[in-house]
Amino acid sequence: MIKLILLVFFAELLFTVGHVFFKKAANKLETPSFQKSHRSYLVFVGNVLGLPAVWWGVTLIAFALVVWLAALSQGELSLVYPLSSLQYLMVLFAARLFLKEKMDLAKITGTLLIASGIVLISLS
Amino acid sequence: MKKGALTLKIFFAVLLNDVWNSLAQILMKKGVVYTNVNFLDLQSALEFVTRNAPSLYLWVGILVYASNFFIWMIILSKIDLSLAMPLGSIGYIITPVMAAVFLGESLSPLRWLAIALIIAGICVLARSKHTVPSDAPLP
Repeated sequence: MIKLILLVFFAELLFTVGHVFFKKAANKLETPSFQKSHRSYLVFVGNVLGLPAVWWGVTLIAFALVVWLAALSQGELSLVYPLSSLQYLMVLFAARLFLKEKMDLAKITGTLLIASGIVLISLS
Repeated sequence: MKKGALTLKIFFAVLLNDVWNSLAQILMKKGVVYTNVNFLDLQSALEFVTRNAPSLYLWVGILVYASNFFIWMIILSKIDLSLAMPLGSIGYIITPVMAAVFLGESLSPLRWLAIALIIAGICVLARSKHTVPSDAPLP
């Protein structure tokens, strides 16, 4: 039981840090658009693959997936799925801490509502 | 388009990201035929990989999944992670609502409540004033 909770927590931590890396990379990218040119999408793909932060993120999320699967193979899905809503709160903290994203009441309330909705879905 | 504004375009990109993700999940689920695995045991994990590797569904699923990553990066190049991540939860309601509308499946009251909570959360999120990273270069 404790082992399962720790595995889920660790998977979510890896997943969150992976997305922080993706966001760090994305902040350096220019959004492609059809108004500019169709080629801007190809350039975008090339730019994404050229950023080291993207590959760090991919590695972390690959590890997260393995840990997540290890947690799932422990059984007790009824416990694993409600716990997965913790992910949203973790991302909120990480975005504040590592990306210096500004928080406001709307973001915090909205995320809490969504996380509780996901807990309910996993219980139903 | 203004960088950082939560526009309809970005919202549709998030929707597309979720639909594309469910498609990948369905394909991969169809592709994984050998499921007897313990991921804490390396030999068992390796057998899981080699037994499922010949499946075409699995590879198409992985391709769809990988292509979805670029949609996610387009979204992240526009808005905060702390906004994009919870917005992505709209995927949790697409499947049950579509199943109810098109397949006539009934949803439990608890599930309707969950869907209402998530929609309320998304509406509240959309009111956030901080959508763009403060240190991002503005065009």
